[in-house]
Amino acid sequence: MEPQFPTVLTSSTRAYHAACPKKFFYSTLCGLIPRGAQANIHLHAGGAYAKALEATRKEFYSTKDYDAAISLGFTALVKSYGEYIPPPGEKKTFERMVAAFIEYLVRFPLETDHLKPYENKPRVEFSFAFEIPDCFHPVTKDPLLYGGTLDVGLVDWNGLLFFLDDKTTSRMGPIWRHQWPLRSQFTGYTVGLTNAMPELDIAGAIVRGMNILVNECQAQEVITMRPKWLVERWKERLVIETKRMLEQWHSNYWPNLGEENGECVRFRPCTYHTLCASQYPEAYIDAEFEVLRKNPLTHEVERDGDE
Amino acid sequence: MLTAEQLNDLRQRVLAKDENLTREEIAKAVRQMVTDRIDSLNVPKAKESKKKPAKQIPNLDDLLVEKTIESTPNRETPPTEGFF
Repeated sequence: MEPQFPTVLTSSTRAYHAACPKKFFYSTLCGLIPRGAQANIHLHAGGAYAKALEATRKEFYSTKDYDAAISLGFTALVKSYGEYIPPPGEKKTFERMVAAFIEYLVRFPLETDHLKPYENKPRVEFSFAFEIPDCFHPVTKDPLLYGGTLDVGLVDWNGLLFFLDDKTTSRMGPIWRHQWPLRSQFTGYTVGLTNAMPELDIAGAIVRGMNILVNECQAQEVITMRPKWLVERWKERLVIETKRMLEQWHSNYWPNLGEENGECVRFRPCTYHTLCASQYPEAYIDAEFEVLRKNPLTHEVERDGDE
Repeated sequence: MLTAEQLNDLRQRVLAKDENLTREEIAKAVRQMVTDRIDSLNVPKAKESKKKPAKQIPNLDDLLVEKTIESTPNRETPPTEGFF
């Protein structure tokens, strides 16, 4: 397990560091993932749902054929969900994901949807990366990058341009909608999109959430703005936080701040709880973890021992 | 109404790339589910009343008597007790 400083920082790696530098160390620098970790139900089911909506919108906005659109959307959902059997007690079963897809068609009817795809392109998929000012990789000395991969739709709402992100959740309490106006991931997307396509004036993000419950599904839509001052504040913080990461790399000090801010157990124990709870974490690493590093731009995966 | 069995059967046919399965057939099933959902929204939910049964209003004369008793100060406890 040789720690490696990443060449590209992402919203996830920033979130790990902000949550707990030790978590950042284990996850991002060491690339540790639990052995035999099963596919994350939320990523799997959410991915299938997103694919269904993507196929539906793509067909509908290019042909206006409703039947073809819903047929392709359903087929995409089935193929993406596949034969996956969720863990017992999970709400995001195949049947519930179909119910979520149906609920979307009911709540946001294609023919009358108030969000129109920008230039009739239902979705955009692209990777972006930009240099973080005055921050250099501690080993290669190359400029450090911030990047990500977007798979979102650009939509026109009241003459303003937004990106649309569909989320699924199994908990949609009254505060669910409040997490998006300051969501760092979306501010990063705004910067990435604006850098890549300066002609676009991205106003913000629109999130359509689908709450998947045992007996019903509930939809919510949240419109959030990304004004210039918020984007500038995000950029400033990106530089300061990256410099802090580099300082910690040079001093090899990764404080267990989760012990102070509650990240060790937020809804469930942190993946690295066993390591932090041990005086000799090395004893558990080989037995319980494997090394896997993922390129955030190409999604190429490298496992320890790969040639 | 599409049953869970019918839905799962459709799923298996899609996964098996059943050549006899047409787009129209899938669209019909999805349309049916959409219609069912819209219909379910139009049906008012039967709400169980959580209200307690209305209390029988007693005779007005009885009420006046109760009120009179409640408003009578307890002569055994001086009103200033606890302040000194």
